[in-house]
Amino acid sequence: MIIINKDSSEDKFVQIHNISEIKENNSIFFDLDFWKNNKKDLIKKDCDLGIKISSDEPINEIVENLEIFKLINFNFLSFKDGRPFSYARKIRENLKYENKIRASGNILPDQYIFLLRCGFDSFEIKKNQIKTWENILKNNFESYYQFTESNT
Amino acid sequence: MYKYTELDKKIVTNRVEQFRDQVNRRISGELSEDEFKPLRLMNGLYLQLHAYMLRVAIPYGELSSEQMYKLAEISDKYDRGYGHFTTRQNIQLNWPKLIDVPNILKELAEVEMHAIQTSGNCIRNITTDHLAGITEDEIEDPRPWCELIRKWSTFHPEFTFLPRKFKIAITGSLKDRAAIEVHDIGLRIIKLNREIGFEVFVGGGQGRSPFIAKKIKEFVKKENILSYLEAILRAYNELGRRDNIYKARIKILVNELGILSFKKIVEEEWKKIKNKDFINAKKEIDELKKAFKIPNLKSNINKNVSEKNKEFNTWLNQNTQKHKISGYSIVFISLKPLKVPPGDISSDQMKVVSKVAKEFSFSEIRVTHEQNLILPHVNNDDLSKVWNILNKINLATPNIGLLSDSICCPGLDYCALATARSIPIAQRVSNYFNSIEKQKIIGEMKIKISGCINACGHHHVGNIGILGLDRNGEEFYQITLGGSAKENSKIGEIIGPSFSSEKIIEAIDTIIKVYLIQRTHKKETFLETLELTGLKPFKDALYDNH
Repeated sequence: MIIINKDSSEDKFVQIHNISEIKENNSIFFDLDFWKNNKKDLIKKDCDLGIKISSDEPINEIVENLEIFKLINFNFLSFKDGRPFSYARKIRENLKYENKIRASGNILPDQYIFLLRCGFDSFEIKKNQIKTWENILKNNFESYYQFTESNT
Repeated sequence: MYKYTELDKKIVTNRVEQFRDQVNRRISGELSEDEFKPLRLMNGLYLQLHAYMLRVAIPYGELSSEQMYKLAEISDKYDRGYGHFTTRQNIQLNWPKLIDVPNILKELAEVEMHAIQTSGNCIRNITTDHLAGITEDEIEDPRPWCELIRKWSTFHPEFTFLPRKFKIAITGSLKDRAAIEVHDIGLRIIKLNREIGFEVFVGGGQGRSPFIAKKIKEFVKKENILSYLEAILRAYNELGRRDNIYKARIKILVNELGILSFKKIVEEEWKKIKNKDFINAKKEIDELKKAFKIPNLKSNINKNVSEKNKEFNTWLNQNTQKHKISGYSIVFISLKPLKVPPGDISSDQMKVVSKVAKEFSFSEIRVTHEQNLILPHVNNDDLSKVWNILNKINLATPNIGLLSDSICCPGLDYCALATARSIPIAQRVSNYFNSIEKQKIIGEMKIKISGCINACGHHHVGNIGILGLDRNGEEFYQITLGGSAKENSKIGEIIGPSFSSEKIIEAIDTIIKVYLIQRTHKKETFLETLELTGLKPFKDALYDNH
């Protein structure tokens, strides 16, 4: 798998499963349960924090601390599970979250444009699909009816 | 009629090329069938019992002569020379080859047509009153709003992977000819303190768990309607069930939460987005209102139609209706002649309808949700000529609104989900009650037939509903009575044990006979009689015979 970021920046985030894995100035991410169990410790760390939320988990848990996350990674259980499209617009447009929103898990290149337009700006994709993703972005419609705040 | 803007053209043309690429990736094996499925479905391409089926969108049921002609050409060139108009005002081609579909879409795009979002878990074709803009009982023409909502919902970035399909219907009249109460969202244009806005219903639907929609909002101002829809859809996208396909429609969510709790969630979200304009709606709607103006018809109160031909007069009485401009008529083209599956039309017939519309109805044609066609503006002086042409091609059966004007899904003849055939039942009903005189004595009667519990034939809202079931490999038919899709819609009640295919016509005949005996006067409709008598006399007659 590889990460492509809309701003072409390099990905530095590493997933951790244990608090002892954290080193200073690291860019780390963790799942929702880990966040719930270690919230107090994590807030104090001098690290860029990211969180990985499964598409079937509610986002209420992270909303109150939204500003501390540098990355929110929505992991699609299935490409048919469209919940993160709403979550992304809610946090971008209603809550004015400005850091990275990543789509990972089971996503299709054909969803690329929809994801971008909802506010996703980082994608974890299969290495052998990179050409398809690039082609889709190049060949596809920049034209659509709706104005979302991430239409550019 | 509405004409594509440059943006519409660009979006539809891009879509054709995008789908061509998806088909190529499927054929090369890069996409698995499971991955290709949602992509083809979003382009109206189903895999049915024997072949692919392509559902072409007819937004709010409006077709031009040119478009009808193109549909005929496509069905000749790529299919088997006929098409099937559906209960959601679309048309289906039953035999296209996968490899041809991108070219079919390309040809459709040439006449400003597409198959976008005619299936899949997204917002489907917006349907409306087939008499929009041409009757006097209307508060405002709903078609500009349909087009606005079509634009808002087309490739909506957030609502393209919903828990399940989503259907919206709009009426601009207090008389509901769009069945809004059996849609996921039903909108009715109303006037409150001299201001026009929308009454909003949510959570209606048929299928295996039928529900009449609940009113969620008394009045939404016109300028806020898209944000209100956005708030409903967002709540549904987040909370709708995704664990069970049969419980994934919004009707289940609304029913499980209760309308008040659901409303609270919607309103809370709406507060945050209420004044957002997602598609420059304010500017758009003024343009759309101009585009949907009806042709400039000159009113003439002296144009009464008179003919000595009895056949013509029967057709005139049954298949035409007054236009809001005097001197003009609305002509219904019955797609329910004897021995033809309801809604089917041959390519030759399509070509003639295209020409008739061009010559006599300002090139406009409409599709009704009861699977008939309409010529919306025919000068009364031309009615006899129109009848002559339609009659020659078997499209003048004078049965609009009568018993043989039934609705029916494709059933086991085509559909992989069906448990029984439905087309042959519709045909046998028509054959049995083939006398129009007899049907006129019975009066208005909606028979609706589905070949499985998914209810595509709308049996729940048939005055007489028929549901085909499989019982140990044999076809059986369950009857419901008293359903209605008009204002104050109702779900029909099951009358009792189902009937074999052999006995079903006899059972319908018994129901009709009981109605004719029980009704207190000739104008009392079947629903009115049933309201007075209840199911008992029908039950007694049906099950004493067995």
